[in-house]
Amino acid sequence: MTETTRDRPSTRFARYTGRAFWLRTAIVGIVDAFLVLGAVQFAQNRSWAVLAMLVLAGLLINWAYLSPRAQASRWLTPGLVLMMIFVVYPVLYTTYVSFTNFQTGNLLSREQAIERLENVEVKTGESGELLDMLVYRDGADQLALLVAGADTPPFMGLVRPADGDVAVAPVAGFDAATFDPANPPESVDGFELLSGLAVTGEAGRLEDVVLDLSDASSAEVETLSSARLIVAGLRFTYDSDADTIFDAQTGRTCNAGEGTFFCDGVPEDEVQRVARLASDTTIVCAASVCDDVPLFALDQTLAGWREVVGVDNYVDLFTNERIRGPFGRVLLWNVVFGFGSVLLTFGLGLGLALTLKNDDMKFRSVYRSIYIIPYAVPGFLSILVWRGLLNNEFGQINRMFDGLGIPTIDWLGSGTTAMISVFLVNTWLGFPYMFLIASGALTSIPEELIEAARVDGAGPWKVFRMVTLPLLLVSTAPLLIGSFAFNFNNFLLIFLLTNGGPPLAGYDVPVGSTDILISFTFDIAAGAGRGSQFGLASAIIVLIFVVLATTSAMSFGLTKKLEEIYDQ
Amino acid sequence: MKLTQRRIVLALLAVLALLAAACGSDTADTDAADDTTTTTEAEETTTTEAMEEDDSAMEEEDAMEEEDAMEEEAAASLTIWADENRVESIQAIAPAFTEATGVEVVVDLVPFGDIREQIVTAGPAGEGPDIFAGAHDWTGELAANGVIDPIDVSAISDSFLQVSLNGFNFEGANYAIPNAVESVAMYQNLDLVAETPATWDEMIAACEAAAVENCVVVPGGGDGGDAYHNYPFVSAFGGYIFEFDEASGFDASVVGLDNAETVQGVQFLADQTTAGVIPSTNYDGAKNLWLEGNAAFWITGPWELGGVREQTTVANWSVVPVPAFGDNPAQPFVGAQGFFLSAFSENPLIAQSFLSDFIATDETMTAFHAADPRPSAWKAVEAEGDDVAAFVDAASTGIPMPNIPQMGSVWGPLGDNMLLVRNGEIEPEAAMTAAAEAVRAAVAG
Amino acid sequence: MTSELRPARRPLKVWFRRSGGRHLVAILAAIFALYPIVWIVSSAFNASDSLASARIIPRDTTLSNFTDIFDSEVTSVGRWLWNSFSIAIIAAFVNTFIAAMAANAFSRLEFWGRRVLLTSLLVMQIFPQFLGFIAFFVLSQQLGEVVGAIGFNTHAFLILVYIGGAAGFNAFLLKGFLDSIPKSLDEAARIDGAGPATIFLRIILPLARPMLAVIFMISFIATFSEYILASFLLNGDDQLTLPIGLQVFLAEGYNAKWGVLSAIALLGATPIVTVFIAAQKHIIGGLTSGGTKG
Repeated sequence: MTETTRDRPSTRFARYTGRAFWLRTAIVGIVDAFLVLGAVQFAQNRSWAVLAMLVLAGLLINWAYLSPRAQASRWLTPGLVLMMIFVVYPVLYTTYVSFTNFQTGNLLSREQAIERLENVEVKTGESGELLDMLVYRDGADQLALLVAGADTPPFMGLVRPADGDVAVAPVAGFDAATFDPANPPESVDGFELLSGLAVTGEAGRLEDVVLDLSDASSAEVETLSSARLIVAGLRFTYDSDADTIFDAQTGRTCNAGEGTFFCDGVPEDEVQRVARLASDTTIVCAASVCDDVPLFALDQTLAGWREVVGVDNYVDLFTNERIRGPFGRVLLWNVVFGFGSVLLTFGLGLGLALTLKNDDMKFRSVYRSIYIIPYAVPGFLSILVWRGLLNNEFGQINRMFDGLGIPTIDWLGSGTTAMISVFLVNTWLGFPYMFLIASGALTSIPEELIEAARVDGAGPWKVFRMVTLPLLLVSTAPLLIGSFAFNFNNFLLIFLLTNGGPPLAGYDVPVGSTDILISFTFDIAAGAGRGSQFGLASAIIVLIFVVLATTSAMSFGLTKKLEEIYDQ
Repeated sequence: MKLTQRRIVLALLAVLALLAAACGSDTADTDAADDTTTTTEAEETTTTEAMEEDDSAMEEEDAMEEEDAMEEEAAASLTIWADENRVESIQAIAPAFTEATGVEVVVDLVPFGDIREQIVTAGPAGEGPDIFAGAHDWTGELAANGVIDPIDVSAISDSFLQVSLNGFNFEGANYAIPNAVESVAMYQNLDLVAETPATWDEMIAACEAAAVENCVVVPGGGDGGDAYHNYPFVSAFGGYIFEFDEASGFDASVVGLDNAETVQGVQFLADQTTAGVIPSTNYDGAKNLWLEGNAAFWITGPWELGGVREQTTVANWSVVPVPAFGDNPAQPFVGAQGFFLSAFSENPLIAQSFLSDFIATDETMTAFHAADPRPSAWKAVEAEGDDVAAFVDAASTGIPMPNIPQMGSVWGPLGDNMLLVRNGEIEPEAAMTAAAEAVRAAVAG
Repeated sequence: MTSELRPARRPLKVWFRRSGGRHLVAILAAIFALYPIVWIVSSAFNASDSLASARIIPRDTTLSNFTDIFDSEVTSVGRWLWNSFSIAIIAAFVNTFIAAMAANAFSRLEFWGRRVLLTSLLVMQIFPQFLGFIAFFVLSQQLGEVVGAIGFNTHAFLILVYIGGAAGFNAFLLKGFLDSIPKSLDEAARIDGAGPATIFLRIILPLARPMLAVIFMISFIATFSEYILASFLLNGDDQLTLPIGLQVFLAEGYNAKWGVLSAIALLGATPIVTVFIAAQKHIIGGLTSGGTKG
């Protein structure tokens, strides 16, 4: 359990007193102060995940910089804290999303969704008359509204808070008989007419204001200069104790369920036909009456909320025929693409590194500079440029072929050539990095080993195969694994170069020859029946991650063993 | 060990000291505020004394609060996300709104494609705009997500082209202030073919007579599926995607992609491709062929007008409607562009005011049209040039593109399968059956 | 130098036998590497804007593609370039330093869980960071409520995301290099009374400078071209980075703006290439000196 075997206690003790110690304690103290301040605020905002990370980071920092035993942690803490927040947290969050119904129609929080339902008006098919509205204010900062319309007599009322909502009481001094719309009174009972600018300043107080007009009808403020007669009232009333919602339009009470409210006893013709078809709804219909009808099946604009739904997304993933159909094909190409990319980029990079290895080769630095250029051009730009070069009719490559009398190739237009194009472009993009890595790794191979093999009579090829390559693989294996993982999920390349295309016939989902799992997933998630399905997409992402992480961890273990063998 | 403990204690002390300092500064601020109202008391007033002061200073403080409130309200601001086509026009009218109302208007340029993606995450999280630009086919999905609010346009509905309002109508409510409409028509190279064809037969005959290599170029072949540009063929003989009913709108449970009329239209497309009338080109391919003077007709929309007006290779050109398929007039998709009101606006009244008093005006609509050649949705704006007028005509004969959320599951399968037809890899009937099944499967989840 | 020692007769043939094949391979690779670059350069100076009319030596050369970029009233490419550069430089710098610290611990200290930690760093790196965009969105929003400076739509938050995302892998890269610096050097310093911090700053960092430069370049380039996260976390003309800003330019189909696209690519790449070529002796030299592992 000792953190270090090198440092003897006496020397360490000497270092931990004096100025450095005080300085460190002070800095940790200041950091702690900010962390505590932040923690209080995050707690107030109910940002629990951030709070948890903050506490973890705080503990780590305090331990690392105050405990004399935490030698290594001092060096690791900055990186670890950042990784925790920006790598581990997204992984956990994505995992969490994969267990929720986060998708079109369920994007809001529960509170947001209910609040929206409570503002929905009863649908009557007609909208009330739009009234002109003027805003007045008196010395006591009270507001009064004057409304008038073609069919509605002028009315002036005082805005005052009542029972949490805002209502309007008539202003006694206003004389409707003498009111002239073209020349409204500048002041009534001490209320002064406000200009447009001043009205805007009061916008906050005018929201949701309802005027109780003299003839028992009422109007709601619509814009800063108009109000609308209310034809019917609000549609939903939420009962927080029973967790039910009353629908005034139909007289039904609906119960909260997964992601929305569900109503029973709904006549079949009220339920949208498409909702009855959808497999993800629970609707049960018998004798022209349906039970368990979610609100959005009555009206798609009645949005639900997001919540945890367990393993539904994973079940969907394994049982949904649309996804399972092309899955095998996509996976196969994805693996081929990942391995092929590593092989090609590393092969070319290593080959060039070996070519330039000789110290006495001329123009070495020129070549090196040239090889690095593809790496220096921002990837998204060069992919677009390549797409242009590979264009069937106007691409320079086909024009060159044309000029040389070679038959042109529709590079991105057919399955095989599109795959070749993807490899071609990815090799171009990736070989400089491998060239750099391989150059570095090559020079770290002891010259004596190679010399010894040569003395033993091995030819150049044998030396390479028996000495150089194994040693090289040992030192670069983790990078190659990393490169495989990167290419396996190289969304940007596929998205910009082929967008997964050209399409394949015979599947129920859009899928193309060069689609990899990630791009395929996104097509599914985005082209789902009612819009995007983040929950399902996250489930696929989590699965990909688990598989890749496991295989990588195992490969790393293997590398470790190799390393041990070659270290002897 | 002892050392560690001492250090932790010290660190905690430091924390407390800093916290005290932080809180202390708050108290100091309050004191300072009190000082301005009372002036006599020293900083070390006891709590009770301070409370008494509060009583005496009540009125003054009220007045101050009011001032504070005024300041807060004056600082009210609107955030607008506009795409590259509209950002300048909005920026141009924003100062006038600020001057008239004191509301600060922040106009952010957000690339068109990003607006739709970001609005569903940014809105509910409270980071979204009050108003944002968008296309009518987003309406269903955004409304189903509860991220947009209806906008009442009944008072000014006569000022808009009806087709634009239809586009933004979902489940009986209007969700945007439209500013432009768009649909495809044909750019005709008059140097290659002089007369304007009324039917496809006339067009094909004219191309043959003039020995044009590429008669009509249409995006959606080659390596880029494009259901939008191919849609005139789907609807050519009465085919459709989803059943439409004037009263209830689109019904996603009835998919018409594999009915006889649709297949007939796609068969027509396949025949023309085989006959060499319509080469299988993607968007860029079609565009280049026409711009280089190698194609007589090019089916696409008004967004290309700017480039076509600037180019010099095709000297004489005009915009004409897509010709009739026999007796059936061509019915391309009509789309609308407009401004949505976010459901998460903190100043919905101000945002509404901005939309109805500043966007829906002759000046702004004229400015939009000047910056972007798409036909205006505002009737008072005159189409700028014959070419735009032709697009206005095309839009008035077209059919609205469905705006229901299920439309998202159509573009992929339809575009891909029509691409396969155009590349001769699959028969029209099989393609449309596959497309219809894919859409049905997606709609059913 | 060695050529002077070669026999004077038939030098060409000897030269070819010795390195001609190598040059042939190297030249072919150079052509492959430069092929699209040539097109970028020529299109950037080509007066005709469309892809179809592009040719290696343009008929009319012009600077209008460049002036177009900076004259546009809607877009502010200059601003985007600056944003991209400042974000990438800060991220790369901090990244390199943090990675160096972590690598120092992995290379120089024995501690419990070292191997497991190193492996998990690498494994975590396999998660494609851009897929966490919803998480980052929520995070930026919650952080922003308390500390506005690192909230949504701030460069600071994006920089933190980039640093956190690459720290593990860079630490690993650097660890391998630090392993090759003889431990006897630290031992000697320790005997002279230097603390771990002093050893790190005075001995390890200077010796690792070439590899630090490589890490810096790798981080810089990766950050400079990052597209997906930036598009989700930044809004507004002034805040955008070059990749997202370009969306605006390319919105109507990039092909028609081939010349402008090329000009921007050239502008974006030139500084990186220049820096690399200037530093390449240093960098490669550094990679070479990694062979001193004892």
